Amino acid sequence: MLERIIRTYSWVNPGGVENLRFVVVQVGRTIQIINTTIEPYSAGIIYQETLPSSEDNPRFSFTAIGSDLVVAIDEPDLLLYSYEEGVIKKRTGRLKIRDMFGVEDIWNGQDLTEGLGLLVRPTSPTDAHIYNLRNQTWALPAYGTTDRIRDMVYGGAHGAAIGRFPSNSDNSNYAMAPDPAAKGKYNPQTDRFWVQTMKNPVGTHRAPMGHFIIDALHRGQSRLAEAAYLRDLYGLSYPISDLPLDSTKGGARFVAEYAGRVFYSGFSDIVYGPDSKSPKLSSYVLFSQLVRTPDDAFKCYQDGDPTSKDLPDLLDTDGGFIRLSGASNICAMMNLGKSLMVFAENGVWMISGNGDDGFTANSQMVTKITERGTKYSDTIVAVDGTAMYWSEDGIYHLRQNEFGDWGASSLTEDTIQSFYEDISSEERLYCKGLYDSYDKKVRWVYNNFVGAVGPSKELVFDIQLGAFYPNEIDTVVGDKFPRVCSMVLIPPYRVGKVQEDITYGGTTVEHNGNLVTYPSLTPVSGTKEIVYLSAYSFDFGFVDYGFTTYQNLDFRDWPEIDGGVDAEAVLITGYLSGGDASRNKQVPYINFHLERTERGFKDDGTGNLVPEGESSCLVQAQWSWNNSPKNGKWGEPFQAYRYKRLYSPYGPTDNFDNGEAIISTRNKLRGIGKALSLKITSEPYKDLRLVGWSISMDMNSNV
Amino acid sequence: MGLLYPLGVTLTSNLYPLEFSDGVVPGIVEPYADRKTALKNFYIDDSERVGLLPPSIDVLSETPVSGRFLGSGAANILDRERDYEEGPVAEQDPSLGMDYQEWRSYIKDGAVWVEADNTPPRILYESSGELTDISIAFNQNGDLHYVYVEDGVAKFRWFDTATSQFETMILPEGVRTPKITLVDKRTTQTSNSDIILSYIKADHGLYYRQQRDRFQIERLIHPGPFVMIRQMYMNTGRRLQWLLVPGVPIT
Repeated sequence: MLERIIRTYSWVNPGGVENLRFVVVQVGRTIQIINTTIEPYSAGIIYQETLPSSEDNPRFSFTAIGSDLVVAIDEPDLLLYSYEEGVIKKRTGRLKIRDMFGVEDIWNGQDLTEGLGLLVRPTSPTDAHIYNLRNQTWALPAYGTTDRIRDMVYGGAHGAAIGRFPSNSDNSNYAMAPDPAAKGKYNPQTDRFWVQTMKNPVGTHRAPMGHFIIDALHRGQSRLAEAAYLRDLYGLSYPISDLPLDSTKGGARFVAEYAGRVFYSGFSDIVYGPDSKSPKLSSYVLFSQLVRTPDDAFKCYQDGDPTSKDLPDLLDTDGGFIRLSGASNICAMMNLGKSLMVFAENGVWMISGNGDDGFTANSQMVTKITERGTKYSDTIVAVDGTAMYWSEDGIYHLRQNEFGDWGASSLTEDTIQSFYEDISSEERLYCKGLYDSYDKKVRWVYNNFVGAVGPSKELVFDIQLGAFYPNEIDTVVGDKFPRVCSMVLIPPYRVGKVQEDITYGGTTVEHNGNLVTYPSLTPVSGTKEIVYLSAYSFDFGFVDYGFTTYQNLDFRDWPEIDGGVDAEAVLITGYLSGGDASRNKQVPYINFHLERTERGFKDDGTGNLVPEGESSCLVQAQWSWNNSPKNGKWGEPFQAYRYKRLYSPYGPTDNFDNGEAIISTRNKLRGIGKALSLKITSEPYKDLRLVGWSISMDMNSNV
Repeated sequence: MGLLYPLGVTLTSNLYPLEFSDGVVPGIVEPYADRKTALKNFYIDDSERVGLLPPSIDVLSETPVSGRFLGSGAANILDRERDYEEGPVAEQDPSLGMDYQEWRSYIKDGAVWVEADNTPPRILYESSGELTDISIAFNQNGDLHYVYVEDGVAKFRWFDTATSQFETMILPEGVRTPKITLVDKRTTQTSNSDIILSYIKADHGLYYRQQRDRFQIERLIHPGPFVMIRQMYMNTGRRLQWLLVPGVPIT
């Protein structure tokens, strides 16, 4: 079976429409865009497309820029979706950069791009050298001493004068000046190419590069195309037909919006047909120009031509690229406050503006924050201006200290380290995290890929308590489905089910004296803003999924499938030793305080009234660090949720009001041992709201 | 954890006659008529009506009524290798009605098994290939019918009244997730009831064949596209109901 991941992205205010929120769902190579303001969500699928990808199970990356959505699919083409007048429109684009690399330039066995080779003016042309010259101020023809525009490289005065081609340090701009003596003959204000100037040798610095704007990934092909276009445009000499392929495999795998631009990373290190100048893009982060129109999102270059005499300047709004030296396997980027965090396998880097300025092409700073990196990109969660992520050795919290310096600290080291280490690499790889800012909880679902077996799992970190707790959501059919796969944010109210009466002709419909009702979907107030996406089957290559939440009041998971399974609650306390682990203890009595949950009665079908919303709390004592009942140190579970007085309802409409808000019971706790742990469990399909417990513990005097 | 919206797409047949203890059939109330707009829209979006009113086939129901699956139909909704159906006290013994007990069929160890509370498991069909789907039903005489998919080919074992013997029908290539059920198992409805065989064909449409035609005529119910049938069974509203996965399989 192919692995299939369901991944999601919340696209807020698409098309600039306020209060509109789309969910982008990726299943395999297919994406669906769902308008969550339409119910049911399945009716809100407004766009679907199977994207080209060389992988069966690719990870697409999404980011919203302005009102548009940019999608990176690890292919040379990037996708940009716009929402216009109720319709999704798609366009594709390729990342463009200025060629700041050039090509390998060997002449007579000497590298013309290094050391003294920079000074060498070859006597015969090579395609590589001509390309480099064109990319380095020698692209455009110019007036000579007459009013005739000529190719400066050789066909013009330069070659005739010195009998050689320019070197890689020659800068044609040095030889451009007007000719005041031309007055009366030619225009004396026009810049002209003064070939005599070029006879002066220059230093061993390379001439400015970057005339050509090329495809950032398929550089070789793009260079040939650009050079051919230039030659046709100006009728230049020296066609260029043979350059290295210099093509990076795939494309950008990660995108993020930051400072009004789109940042791209996650490129492959594999280059087809490389030469010594080919960049290894895996440590590169490309950034677009400030996005004013959709096309700007793909322009990772400066507007001004750096080889130009007049407009070589880098503007604040320009695009470009940044190299994160030492970063390997970049796996995610996240906009956090004034910075862009770049997560790589070997650390986290921060890209920001220099000083108090925001990020611009002219003001940028790269800082390595921690060597605790990650390769689990979907585990990274933004939490109120900080970030949490799963690493190899724990869960880390990336945040600023009191001095404003960023750092990462482990959340698991002193808490759930062994629990975390038991989570397999595969589970971590597909794990998806999200922060519910209303609930103040970070949730990570794992064991969540379609091919997984056993229950779906969820690790919850309560920000307010600073505590972790695990959830397991059992399957119904075999050990595979349904399976919680991903999460998505919805507005902080949620759709819930309420029972509404059915009326016919203005009269409510009854059956056997009971009102006939139906489940109605309506927005209800809630504190959660997370909805889960759960897979129900994977047949015929098709993953069938639905939107799910924790909503069942009968404590059943998946009630719509074969009746569902009990959502059991379990709490095992730490060991209570009373500060002395050497003496035996006894607990004659333990008091439990539980919230009363019964809210009425219902007919069980035989005329008997049974309480609605029943609670139950089973408590078991586990003594002396025993982890099984074999040693007789585990007590029998007892019911701690008990009414002291029987309540007699007067009928099915009785609301079970006995005046008590809390059920408190006094219980004997049998057994003896040096330490006590309590296991508290719920009963199938019943509530349990534990307020607290109190213990009176007796300790033996003898050791 | 539970679904915000119903699973898949539901199709329902027209209403099967209601059964009342006093023998009086009241005027049929279609409670959806006055339901609130939100719900009506919701069901219209996710449901389709189907003409399957016995004994007339081509009469469309006026409003679709989705409901829970009755009895054994509520089980194994996601499981293609397991199918439960109410049936007689024993095979070929309808004396105690067609809803006497639950019969359970399943695929295990390369074979199709069947069992009931009073019947130990027995192998119905042993295969040397790969079995992927099973569904069973009993006709009015208690003859066990079953449909299964073996190496991607759907095969239907049925009792042919013309020859008075069981036959195996090979369904067209590309047929997937075939299901069968005796629509109405109530004793009072024996004359109206039918075994319905339904499946998705290669064109992704939903088709059915029925017992009264000796399963010889194939009819299109809905053009789809559907990936698969999850379940086909009577619902609490006394309508035959299909639960379907919409979409097109990925090849």
